[in-house]
Amino acid sequence: MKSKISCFNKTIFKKNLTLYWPLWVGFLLMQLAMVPLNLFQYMRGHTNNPIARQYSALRNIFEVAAEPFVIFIFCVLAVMCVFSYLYNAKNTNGFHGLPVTRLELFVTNALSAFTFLAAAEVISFITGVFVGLGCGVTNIEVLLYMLLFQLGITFFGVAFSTVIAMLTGHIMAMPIYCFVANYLYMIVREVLENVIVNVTYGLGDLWGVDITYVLSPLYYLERSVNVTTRYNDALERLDTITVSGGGVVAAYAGVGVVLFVLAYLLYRKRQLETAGDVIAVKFMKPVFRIGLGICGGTTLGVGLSEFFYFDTPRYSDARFYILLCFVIICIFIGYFMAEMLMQKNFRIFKKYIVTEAVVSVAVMTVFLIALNNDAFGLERKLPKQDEIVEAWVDLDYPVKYEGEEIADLLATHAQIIAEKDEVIDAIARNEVNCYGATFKYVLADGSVFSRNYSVPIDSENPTNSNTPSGQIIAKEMEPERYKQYLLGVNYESNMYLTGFINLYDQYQNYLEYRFSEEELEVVSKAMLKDIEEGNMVIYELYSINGSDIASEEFMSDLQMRYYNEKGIVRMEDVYYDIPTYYEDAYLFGGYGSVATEAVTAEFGSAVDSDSVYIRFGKNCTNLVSALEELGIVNDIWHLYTHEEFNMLEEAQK
Amino acid sequence: MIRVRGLQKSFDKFKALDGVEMHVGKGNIYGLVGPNGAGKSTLIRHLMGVYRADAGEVLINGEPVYENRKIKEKVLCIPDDLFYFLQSDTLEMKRFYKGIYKDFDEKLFERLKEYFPTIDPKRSIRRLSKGMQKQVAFWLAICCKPDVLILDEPVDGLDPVMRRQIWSILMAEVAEREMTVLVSSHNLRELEDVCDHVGIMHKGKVMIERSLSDLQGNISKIQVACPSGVPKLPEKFQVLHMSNTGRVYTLIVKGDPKEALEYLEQGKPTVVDVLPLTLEEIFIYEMGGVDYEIKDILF
Repeated sequence: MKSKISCFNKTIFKKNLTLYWPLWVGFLLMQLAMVPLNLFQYMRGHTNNPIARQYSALRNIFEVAAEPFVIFIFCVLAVMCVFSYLYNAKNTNGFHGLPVTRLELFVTNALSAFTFLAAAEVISFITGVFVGLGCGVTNIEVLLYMLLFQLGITFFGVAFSTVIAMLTGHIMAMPIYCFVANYLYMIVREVLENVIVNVTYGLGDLWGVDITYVLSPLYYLERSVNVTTRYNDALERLDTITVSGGGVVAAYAGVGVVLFVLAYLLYRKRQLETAGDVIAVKFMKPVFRIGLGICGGTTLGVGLSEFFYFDTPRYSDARFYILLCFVIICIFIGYFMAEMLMQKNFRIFKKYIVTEAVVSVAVMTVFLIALNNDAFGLERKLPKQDEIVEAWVDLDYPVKYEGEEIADLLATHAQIIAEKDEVIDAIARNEVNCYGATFKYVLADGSVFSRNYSVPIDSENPTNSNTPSGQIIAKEMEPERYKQYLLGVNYESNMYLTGFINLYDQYQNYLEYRFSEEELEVVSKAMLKDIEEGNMVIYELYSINGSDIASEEFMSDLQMRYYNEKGIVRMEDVYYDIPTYYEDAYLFGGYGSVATEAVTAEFGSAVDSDSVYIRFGKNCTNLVSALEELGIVNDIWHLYTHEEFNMLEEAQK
Repeated sequence: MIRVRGLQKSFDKFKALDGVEMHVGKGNIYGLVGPNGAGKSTLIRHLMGVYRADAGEVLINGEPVYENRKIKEKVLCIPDDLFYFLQSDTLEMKRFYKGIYKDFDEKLFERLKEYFPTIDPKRSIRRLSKGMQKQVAFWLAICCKPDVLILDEPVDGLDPVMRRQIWSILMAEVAEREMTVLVSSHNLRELEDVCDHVGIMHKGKVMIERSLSDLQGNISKIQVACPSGVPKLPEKFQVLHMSNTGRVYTLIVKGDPKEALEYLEQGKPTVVDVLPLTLEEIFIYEMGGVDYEIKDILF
């Protein structure tokens, strides 16, 4: 006997299972291939190191099977199937004419979608455990974590897709809306940032990825979910496997509960005659129009205007007005397209639509003009010195400012802002050479404040301390900074392992000369001396060299490989916030390197390390002398500058 | 059995139902007729509990239908556009209905097989002809043993033999279980044979709702040839239509035909005849009264 408040219908549940079996079976087969089969193949071969094999297997399986994007696709498909009756008038009427309440229909269908996907994940997990135990996997708990991650992501994915399914009456619109809704926050931020960058002076890369990106679930999940490993100090055994992102997945699963409730409320209110409509819920119609109009129109307008800037100087009024025109036109287009899609009719030019579009255009125009005139104070803004934890400027290479130097950098930055109008005029009259400089401040609250400018370069006196570029270049030329940039932060303990140099003869024949151990030591010392004396950095400074360097810089590639027991930390990596992995890089590649006796003894050959490519020229007198004294550069094999080599080529013709 | 009071429904700004009042008694066969766009299908969907009314109520057995599983278990509809699952055959749909409708009679399903000999129950419904699909719909509907059966264009697509077959099954159910049937159809000649009550809808309202006998008894066609000219009737008689061929006048009169006859005979006509009207004629002349008449085409 049925309960009076039953919210589950067995018949419809079974119907969902049998009618859409290809989807469930397809997902199951995919899961079986990704987990137990994958695990079996990895454990059978790959490397001789059992630790490496297991690590590789588990990490790969976790990354593939718990890949949020793939799970989401199946969630969308599952929800499309079980709620497909909502998108067809005949089926909508048929289902709702049955003796079932909307609550029953909703719960049964949503549960069907989640259950059948989850069942496939559980089956593949159980099979994977047996295969793993059979193949000697010791960290089998990783598979359990993987399953929990999958279930959490699936639950959220089904809930999210169900909400979207309730907002539309058109089956093909549903997956598109799911995709857009997932990335909508990112898209809006990108559009806003794009507009601001195009219209203001200095603003670019405004916002990094922060906690607000949780509003773009797929993107945030992909960034959050990963697995890393740690070895013991001697790198003899796998100590721990760390799976991160569990909190994020759990949080999203919790949000999934709220989304299910929201989806049910939408379903309860849904007018069934909206089957076939692009938007099924009345209050979403203006949102759709505004979204497509303003967001879509602005994006299109900004993109199209790029093709019509021609030779107009950057930051000029002409560019701004071109952009403004295109944005206005495209907002109108976006509005009308949205209404055409909703009404499935080309004749939609009604008074209220035109009024709405005109108002949106007016608001956008005012906003853009205000931005262009820095009404919001964004261009003038600078962080306070006591808020700054790290400060960088990147003209030719990233330079870090510390302690008292931060005040100097802020002063340089303020000068650039103050000279804005002069610089823009000079650029418009083509009177200056400019180079891009990025200022980056990491603040105490974890946020990053960043600006990017075209900075005029004083070619006659590049280190002129009265100019912002001169002040920065002077810092770039400091030997200590250049060493850290070229050879890593811990460069003092670098051990140089191998190296080679390319040389040419007068007939343009090429020789790759590999240094012996003794030669390498001499060459590396000479290189360091040249850096110390400031002879080498000049070849890195594109801002002041341009094409002139051709007459000075040698064509020859000079490369050295080295390792460092403290690990390689490149300045660029710190600047761009790229993590470095010290422990496991040897076995699986990565940024770090490991150098212990135990590892060297076990694996014999030179360990993975980093390489440095040296740019040098005639100014590097120590290096050139060393090469000559060693007989590497001789009567036959020479160092040619680019210019000299081109002249050789011309002479040969 | 079915009571509709003040039912209103709008789609965007279009008013599809504008205060519908309807009553269908238990065991009645009620014919719902009306011109295209009158709101019949919309009304039917309210009776099925599909649409939510903007105002008014729809009651079956004194209880609202909308979101009422108990009531909806006793109501079944065979729509014009039939509902079934793609790839399903009759047996699969039978299993589905058996799971949904607790009164589904499997024995009756087996017994009725002989009445639908051309249907292969294992063949996909999608591959059957339109008429055969309709037979399957009737077959399954009857087995659900509903108290209220709603039919939208029920016999459209059925051959004459199957039509009679279906009607005879339905009539047997009505007689045996007092099943209430509401039929919406444009085939008024067929409805006339089976319905005992009729409701005529127009522009979202039920204009007329009466038993068929009352309806037919209240409108008549009178042919009269009067030497004195145009025949006249008192105001209490509504003349829906008058035409003449020479001095022979044909009147469609609403009111007691005997009384009308008495008045006309006072004028000493040469000929006076009272002829019964078909439901189709009643419909046409009633609609003519609300400006929905047949218009002559002039080229």
